[in-house]
Amino acid sequence: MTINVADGLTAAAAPPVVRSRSGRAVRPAVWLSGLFLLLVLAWAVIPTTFTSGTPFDTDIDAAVHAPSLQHWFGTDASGRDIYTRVVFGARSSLLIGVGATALALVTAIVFGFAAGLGGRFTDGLISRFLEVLLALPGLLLALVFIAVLGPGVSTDIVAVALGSAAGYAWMVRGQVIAVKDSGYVSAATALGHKRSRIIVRHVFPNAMRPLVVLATMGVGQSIVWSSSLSFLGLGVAPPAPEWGAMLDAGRDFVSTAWWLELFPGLAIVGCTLSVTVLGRHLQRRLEGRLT
Amino acid sequence: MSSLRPSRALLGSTALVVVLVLAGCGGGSNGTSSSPAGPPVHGGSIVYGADREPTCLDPHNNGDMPQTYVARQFLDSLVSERPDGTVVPWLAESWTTSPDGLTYTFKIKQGVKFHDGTPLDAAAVKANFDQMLDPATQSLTDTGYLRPYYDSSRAVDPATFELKLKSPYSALLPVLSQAFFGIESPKAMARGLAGNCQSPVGTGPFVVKQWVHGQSVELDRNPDYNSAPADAKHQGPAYLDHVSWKFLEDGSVRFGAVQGDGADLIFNPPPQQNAALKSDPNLVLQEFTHTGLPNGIALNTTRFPFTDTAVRQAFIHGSNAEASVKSAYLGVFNWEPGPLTSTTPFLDKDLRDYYANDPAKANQLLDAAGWTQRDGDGFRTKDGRQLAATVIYSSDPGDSPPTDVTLYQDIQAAEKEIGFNVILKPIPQDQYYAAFTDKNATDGLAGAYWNSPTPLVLTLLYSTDSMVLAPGNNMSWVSNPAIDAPLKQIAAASDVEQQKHYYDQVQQLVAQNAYHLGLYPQTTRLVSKKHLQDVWIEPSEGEPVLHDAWLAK
Amino acid sequence: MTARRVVSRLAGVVGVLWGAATLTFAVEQLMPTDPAQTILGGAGAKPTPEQLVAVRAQYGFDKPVIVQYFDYLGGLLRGDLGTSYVRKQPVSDIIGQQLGSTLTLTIVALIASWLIAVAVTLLTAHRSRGLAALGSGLETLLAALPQYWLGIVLLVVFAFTLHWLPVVGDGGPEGLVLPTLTLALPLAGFLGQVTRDEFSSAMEQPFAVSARARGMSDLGVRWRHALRHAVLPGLTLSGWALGSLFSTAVIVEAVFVRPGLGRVLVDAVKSQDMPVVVGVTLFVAAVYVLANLLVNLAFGRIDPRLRSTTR
Repeated sequence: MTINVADGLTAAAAPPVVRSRSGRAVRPAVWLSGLFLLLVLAWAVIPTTFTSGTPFDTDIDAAVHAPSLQHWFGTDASGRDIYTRVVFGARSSLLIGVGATALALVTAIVFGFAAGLGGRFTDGLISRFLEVLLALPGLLLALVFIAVLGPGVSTDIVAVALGSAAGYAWMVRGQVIAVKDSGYVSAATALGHKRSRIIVRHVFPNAMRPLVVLATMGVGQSIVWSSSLSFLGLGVAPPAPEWGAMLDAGRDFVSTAWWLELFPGLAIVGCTLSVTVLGRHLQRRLEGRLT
Repeated sequence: MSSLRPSRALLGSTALVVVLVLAGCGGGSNGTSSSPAGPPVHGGSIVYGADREPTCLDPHNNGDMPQTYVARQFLDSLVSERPDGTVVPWLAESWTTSPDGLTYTFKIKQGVKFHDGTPLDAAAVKANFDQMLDPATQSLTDTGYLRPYYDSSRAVDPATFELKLKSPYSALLPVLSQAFFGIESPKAMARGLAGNCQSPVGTGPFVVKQWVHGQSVELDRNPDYNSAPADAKHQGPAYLDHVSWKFLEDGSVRFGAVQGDGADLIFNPPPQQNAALKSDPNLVLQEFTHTGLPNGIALNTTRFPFTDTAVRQAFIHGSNAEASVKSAYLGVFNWEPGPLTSTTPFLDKDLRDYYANDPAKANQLLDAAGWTQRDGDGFRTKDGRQLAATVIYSSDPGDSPPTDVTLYQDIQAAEKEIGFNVILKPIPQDQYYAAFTDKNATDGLAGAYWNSPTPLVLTLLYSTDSMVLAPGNNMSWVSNPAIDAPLKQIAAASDVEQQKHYYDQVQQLVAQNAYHLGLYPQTTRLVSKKHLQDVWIEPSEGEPVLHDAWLAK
Repeated sequence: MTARRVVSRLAGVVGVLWGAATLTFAVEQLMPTDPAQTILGGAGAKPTPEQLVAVRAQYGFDKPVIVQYFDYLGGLLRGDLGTSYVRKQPVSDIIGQQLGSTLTLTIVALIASWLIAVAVTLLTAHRSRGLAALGSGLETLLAALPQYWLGIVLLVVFAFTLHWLPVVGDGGPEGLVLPTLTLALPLAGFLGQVTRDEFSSAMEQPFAVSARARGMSDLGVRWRHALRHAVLPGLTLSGWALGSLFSTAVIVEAVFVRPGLGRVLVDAVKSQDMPVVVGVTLFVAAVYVLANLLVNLAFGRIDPRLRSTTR
């Protein structure tokens, strides 16, 4: 599991700033990351464009074959093409990754805004609740949730969302408070603008901006967390192609058939890396706009 | 290997105990270490890498393989079984049987003490049988064997133990040779199940020092050991000072441990490592194919769609089992259809046609049974209902190693070809075990095997008595009078020809009725470092025996 | 720091712990399955209704929820975390048995990640573009690696192929290397990024400039001046880092088959052994909160960013 960026940022109470020496030019790494993510998205949405088979095409005579022209990533223990399974696996991995992050964000916005805009009592209550949740490390929280409801795709999404929601909510709350007390909001209030209009036109967009960055990186983290859960045997049931489950299934072949572990692993690492690079790039751009 | 399948020792020939060649995986350094390394050396400590942690160290409770393997080291049984199926004295020095076969009188060895100082006597033996049959002990294996036959027992005098049966049981002595029937201290048993699970007390060559949950069972040598079986390699205390019985669930890690410094002896390396195993001059492989029911999928005859015999038969013919086993297990195991393994005596070898891969026949059977429509996914339907069956297996990798999961997926793909939707459902270990005693838990039960010293295990597997008296052993929930009758005959028969006749009858019926899809035989494969000598596998349950083991310098 | 501050901080900690305990109690109550079944379930057992009733009475499940709640809190104050449904052992015993292994791994990994982060920063920060980019890129890569994949790769390379390190640790230091690296490297990547920022800005501060003007070598400036400032965020994050490490230790213990709280927790989740799940989670939460408190108390004065956002 990658480092929970939200937790880290919360702890430091300020985002780590990476000062790029190269000015405002967009580095090639960012382009590559963007392209890779687009590719993975395409895999998720239109997998049949990239491969002709299905992820369930068993061919037991071709089990555990090394990468070749016929099978770019080799075959697994049931003779299924690993490249095809990686492509189709993008869907469940992205679904859980994006789904969990989206759910976490929605929850965070609700709680963060309620705390930031509500009265002292509401804020106090929600803040204390968030502090308690923040005390429980994200993955553990997810595990507790799974313990209660049993493993499965939807449970995984909610569990992963639960693990990161508190950190986002804390962030949102902080942002809302900061924006609320800022100059232009005071000016708008003085000018007599309606409260709801201020919220919609000023508070919301400005509070959400840094969250965009977090969310981008959060998707990567969600993907890793959900594949970790699969790896622990708490995810989707076979024969579903899911990157974490593929890694779990290939563990016994780790010294005899390296391709079973390498390619799904690269897919996950690739996603996480791309998402991190993109996120930090966004961060730099947004900071430029705010200062 | 799940917790409910005790292995039955075989009654077969000597060659079966140490299997030197299993089609294609023989050769190399197989067999017991025969190198003349000099006289045994006293002392030393070893690490044994087990694949699963037992749920309770008292093998009277429940009764699964991890329990029996470790219990053999600290418990002695009444008799010990030889590879040819006969038994020799152990804690029972001699015994007589009444002419009607209903009363067994055992002479109990004197001068033996349990590890807690209690003396071994007939009263202690009786206390063991009482405890096994006590519902509080929650036994499955022991009650499975005893309930249909056991009537009562008593201590005639401190050295004489008498056991009475309800009806003759020709397999009683081999059954009692298993570590499942190891004799424990009455004082220790009196602590109750929780205490006895944690640290049972026996008379064996090793003492349970500590059970570190999730890690290991630490066994210390019993310096006063004087009750070795007649077929042990030596009498007297063990040579090794200490055995660390570690739980290394991951097969690759386990094998890596015996290759490196982590272990001296391990259980069942993963099939992927076979080549590495053969080419390593420092490692020795011993194999033992268990007798009993081969590992496979038990079809629940009381639930849709397996209530229809034709559907069961189609399932078996459409499973492509032989090729799937070969592919998933990389040639290490051969396909065995059952209902008995290749090393079990009285196996009827002419039943393979009932289990052969024949998709055409499968399609024919399903068409004739009315499953002629297809739905959007290509699966057969009849009256709007899809031809689907849920097959459960344990999500614990010790119970269902990854290779088994691959095998199930291969079968699932083959069944899809004949329009049969097999839904694989991994469930947590405790739910999986609970499913054995619940008739409505599942349509198909994967990981269903039954290791037994006797082919009379067919009684536990397919008799009505078993289903009623000890539910959980008859995994297909079969109640078929045509099978019950010959099984009772075998128990009462003493003539081998007669027994063979009835065994053939039973097996024929089981095959015709397609109760079980056999996949591969349960096998104990021990890999030891060369310097660890004289480890042997006993034939009742394939239990590794460490009493005679010693470390060469 | 004033006594009032300390007391209010402590009160905050107690409040959070109480909240966590209440939350986990609520979660336990939400279990859809019957805990009595799990307790008696064992392997293959089919409990009778009488047995179920007896167990419910024994564990107090038949009492009203409020009573159970206060029993629970009272138990926590005494250090009693309940009894495992599956193992029938007190949860505190289970934690005690497995804690040492996980704690060793976590603390060694924390120290290792500091060292790595500081070393990479010292060597590559605020230097030529290529080197700085390399260092920064390395840190980003490390921070993005999923622990279990890294663990498997390390296992394959160093244990299965090169045979430099054992596959299964026997409790000795050799068996600790790979699991520690697996935990430490991603964290080092993240800490390195934070340290790097501070380091760069410290190197441009007046005191560093004047030190260089006075003729101090670049390495000297790095080591004696900038480092002190740069290390601070790493230290202040260590409370959070410890919590994060504890939870990722779950994965690492699975990959390397190490005994520890992680394995215990995963097994408990699979068998729905709620007292263990809840007990371990609470324990980790307590460690995390206390560690944060200590860090805040020690460094809060120095680094104002640690003071929580208040209205």
